[in-house]
Amino acid sequence: MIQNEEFINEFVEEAKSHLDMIEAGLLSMEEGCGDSENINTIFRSIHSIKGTAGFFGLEKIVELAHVMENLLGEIRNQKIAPDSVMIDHLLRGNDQLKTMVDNVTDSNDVDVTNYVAIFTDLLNQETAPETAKKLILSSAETNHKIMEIDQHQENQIKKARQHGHHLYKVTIAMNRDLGSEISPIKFFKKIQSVGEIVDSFIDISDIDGLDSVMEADVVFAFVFTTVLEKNLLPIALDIQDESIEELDTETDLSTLNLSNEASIKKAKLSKLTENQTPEIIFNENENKETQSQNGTETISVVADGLSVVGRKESGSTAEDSVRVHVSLLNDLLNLASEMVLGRNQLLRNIDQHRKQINGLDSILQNIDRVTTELQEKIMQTRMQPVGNVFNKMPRVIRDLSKKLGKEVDLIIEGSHVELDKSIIESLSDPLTHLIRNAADHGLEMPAERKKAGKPTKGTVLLKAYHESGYVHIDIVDDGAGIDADRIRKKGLEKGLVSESELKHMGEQEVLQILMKPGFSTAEKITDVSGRGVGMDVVKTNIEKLGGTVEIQTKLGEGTTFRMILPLTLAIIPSLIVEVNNYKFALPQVNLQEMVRIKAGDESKKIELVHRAQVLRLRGKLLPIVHLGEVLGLDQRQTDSEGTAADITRVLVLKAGSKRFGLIVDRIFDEEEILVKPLPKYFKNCQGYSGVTIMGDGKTAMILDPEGIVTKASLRFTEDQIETTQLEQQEQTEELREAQNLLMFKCSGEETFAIDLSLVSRVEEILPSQIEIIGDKEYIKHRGEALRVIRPEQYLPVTSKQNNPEKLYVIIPKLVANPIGLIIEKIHDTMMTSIKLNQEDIKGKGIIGSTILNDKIVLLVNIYEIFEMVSPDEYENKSLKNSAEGAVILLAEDTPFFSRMTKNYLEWAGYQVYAVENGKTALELLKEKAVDLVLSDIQMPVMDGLELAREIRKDPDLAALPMVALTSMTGALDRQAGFEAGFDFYEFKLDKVTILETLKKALHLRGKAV
Amino acid sequence: MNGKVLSFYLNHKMFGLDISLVKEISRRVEYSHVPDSDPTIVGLMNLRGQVVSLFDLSQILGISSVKHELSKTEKPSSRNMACIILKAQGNGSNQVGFLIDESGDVLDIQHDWCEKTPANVEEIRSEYISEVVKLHEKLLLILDAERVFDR
Repeated sequence: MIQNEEFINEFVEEAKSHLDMIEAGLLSMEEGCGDSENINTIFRSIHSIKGTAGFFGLEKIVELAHVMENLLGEIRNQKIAPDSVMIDHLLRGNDQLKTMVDNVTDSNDVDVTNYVAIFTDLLNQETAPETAKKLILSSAETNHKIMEIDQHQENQIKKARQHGHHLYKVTIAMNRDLGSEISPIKFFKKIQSVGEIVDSFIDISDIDGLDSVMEADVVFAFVFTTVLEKNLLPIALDIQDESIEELDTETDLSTLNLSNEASIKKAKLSKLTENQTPEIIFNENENKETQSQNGTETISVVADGLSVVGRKESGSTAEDSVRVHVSLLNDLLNLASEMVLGRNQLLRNIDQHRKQINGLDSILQNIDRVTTELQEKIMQTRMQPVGNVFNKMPRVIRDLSKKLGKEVDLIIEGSHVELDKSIIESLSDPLTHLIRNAADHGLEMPAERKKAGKPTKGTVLLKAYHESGYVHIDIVDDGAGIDADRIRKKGLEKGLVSESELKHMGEQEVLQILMKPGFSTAEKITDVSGRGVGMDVVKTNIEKLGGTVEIQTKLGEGTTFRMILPLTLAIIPSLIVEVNNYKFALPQVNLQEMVRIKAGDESKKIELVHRAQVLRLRGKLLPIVHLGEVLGLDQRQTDSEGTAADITRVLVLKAGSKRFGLIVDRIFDEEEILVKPLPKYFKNCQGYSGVTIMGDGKTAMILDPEGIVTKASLRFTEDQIETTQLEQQEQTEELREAQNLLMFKCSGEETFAIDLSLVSRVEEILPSQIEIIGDKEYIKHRGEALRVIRPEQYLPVTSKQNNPEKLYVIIPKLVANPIGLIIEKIHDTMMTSIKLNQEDIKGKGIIGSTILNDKIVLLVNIYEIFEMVSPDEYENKSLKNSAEGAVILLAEDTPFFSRMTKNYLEWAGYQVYAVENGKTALELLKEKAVDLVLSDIQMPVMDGLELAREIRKDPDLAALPMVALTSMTGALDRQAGFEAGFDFYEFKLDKVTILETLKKALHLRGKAV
Repeated sequence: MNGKVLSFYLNHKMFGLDISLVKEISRRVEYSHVPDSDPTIVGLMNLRGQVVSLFDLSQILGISSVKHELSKTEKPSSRNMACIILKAQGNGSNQVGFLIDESGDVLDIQHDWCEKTPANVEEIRSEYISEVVKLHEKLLLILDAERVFDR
């Protein structure tokens, strides 16, 4: 037996990926995918396991794999039609193999007789005892019989022979011939790379005397076909001449010598079943196996999680991937981050000499770029597709649906989305739990579903996607939804919340009670879930990863659990803040908005309720915490109303369901920080979650909002202060549709912002890439010429000659003939809901101004700019004043969009009433006559869908034409829009299309009104 | 013990540390104080990308001088002080070091010079001293680093 640990590890990893493949294959087989590609994949996988396990003398694994293989072989030969019982057994057998592989050293102590019996029974039941013709292969040299072959193998050999293949048997003594240099698995693959294996087995035919037994070397034999001549084989396989024996392929197979059967001592690996079927391995093309099967994506699980991509085998030697230990990657990552810091320091110190030394500039630039790229690449090596976790879920759902008697469809989307290895690893448990939860608690029983008018088959959607720098994973079910009242009741019963607490809780917060320890709402406790543990663990696990969990639910329609995860654990975007000259990093994921309070501003001021400070923000109260005070630094402001400074900076943070304002002294830039674990000596400091090293080489603590809440509220209770009445429900809803802004600078001093939903992409270019044709500038973009403009030439702003080394081009989305905007610097992207000032700074191309990060930011209307640049194409004069005074009700909560839409509607000659949400829209409809409703989907208080449903319900309004105007353009969203009653569904700001659509809509319903 | 010992001075007292535990001696230490942390921690320092927790050993040993008291209330600091950084234990995320007044020589210690800490050593928290070495001119107190930093 070979005890080399490295080889065994290799085997374990390899076997695991094969087992996953088998599972996926079996599941799709059950769904009716009986095609031969699928069954072949399964068959090859199980055969590989059996084959390689044999090398290591893992008898029980071999034994079990062998009986499974036999059964699968018959399925492949179409002698047996698989039914769900059989697949059940096969899955169970597969599970057993998994357990054994996981604990490979003890696998020989596992009793598999049960399984062997089951599979043998299955095989016997299904196949009529068929002792028919078994062909015998014999040696060309000695005429000894080598092995029996079956139909399949015969065909294989025949076919191979037609292609001029020779048939060989190679005997390899593992220790003698391979030693510790080459692993058996590699040898296995080597043979596969030169030919096709017909069969492989442990050969003891040469072990005659006691001597050879004493040597106790495992002798493995392969029978395979190849085009290579016998004299070339030793070179190709790097083995000795004597181990190769050419088999007779010239004689007609059917007349092979059957007589001296007894002269061969051929042993199969273990005491196997009698009617075994010898087996074939096809040349394994692993690429094929990674392709998707039957809709669900099958991801090749790469062992050890490194960035080993697609294990292609080209030729016999070259390998495309190398196995690297994770710790090495971690070291590389650390070093790369160090290099980034070093670069930053270098750039800072040398900056004033840049111009003095010739050529220094380009060298620095080069170092700059290479370093950044290096860091990115190293980060990439740790990334893995979420499919690695997702592909475990079909099995979970399958087992569950059987157990619960529910029909469940699992749809998986976004398996290719990548996350850091460490996150992927910790994701498995929470995800499994949420999936179980969705199937168990979320979906109703088929009968109930029928009663509710839903299809009996429930759907669970598992979906990963990128969203503003984070990865979102949604688990969506179309079940009964969560009844908030029941949660309230249950929460009270179990003493998880108090009545007074409940009174002040918004919907979201009530739902978050679900995730408190000791909560379970299932009416019936099943063994699947509902043991009262779990959701809290999910929450803690996700939060440990620096993520958050959100719940959205609609009674009768379903529930969505959303996990928001950072791309990587190691690097997170953070805001650098300062208190008492101490700098801290605050993870952006917790940051909702920044508020700047000027002394004397009545609309935003900090007030005292008892002795607790609260901020009146848009009419709602937000508890305020001083960071300095929490950390025991600052005593100045405790007894005053923030009068110590003229300007108070408040960060509105979200920690779980709690929102609070954190006062800091200064706010710096956003930085991508490398998270280092908190040294154990700081475990008592609740306010921190880690340490980082900043650009200046100093360490800074990473703030933990959750911890700050705990610390701060501790003090509140000590002071016996009742928390103020917070109507947080409306507050959170108010923020639901925050805008995602990209902030940038052109050559002048002004800072601009553009809504990210309008941006297709931002490209970095060199000034030399801009080509001038006539008086216009162009760049090459995706093989086509793209016109680019400099916004400062069209806007009422300053411009300068900076001659920067590199530029960026913003390429807008959803315009027929895009024009790129050349900008010089990208500042930041920010998720915020802004207050738009439309009066102070005006001009064509600018919607308005707002204050972000203490800076005046101009919001750009790119469509107006385009109109200025190329009036013929964009302005589309024909639409101007084409509306003949029709009255439109515009429901839109974001001031930016509302303003913009209203502008061009009026330009087109419509009369417009603008409201902020569905409720006000309905109120207005009662009073005023309107020709058409143009509504956003996501709005606070009452959203667009609900508005549409209300309107369609109302007999007076039912015939009103309705157009949805939204940034959610997914097919599902669209579907939902039409179902709610919208006639048309358009993307925000696509002016021309919208105006056309409005005309159509007015026309469509116009006659009926 | 037998072998090489690094000697250093803390508040005018000489201490020794098994040199096999020492990673390096760093002069011109730059560190950042961490608010709300344990009073014996002076701050964190960036040692070529590794975060090192710096301790105020004199406080741990109960011999703190006025000078060290000051360091705690200071702003994030970059004072010219020396420190000894120990080799990392385990996974390396818990690197420790401590400030010293001055580093001394590396001494060869022989077993028969050592004695257990006498019972009447009062001014120092004697549980952190593993042995006392009788040198010619004075006594060298050998620090039990494991005890000190594995609390």
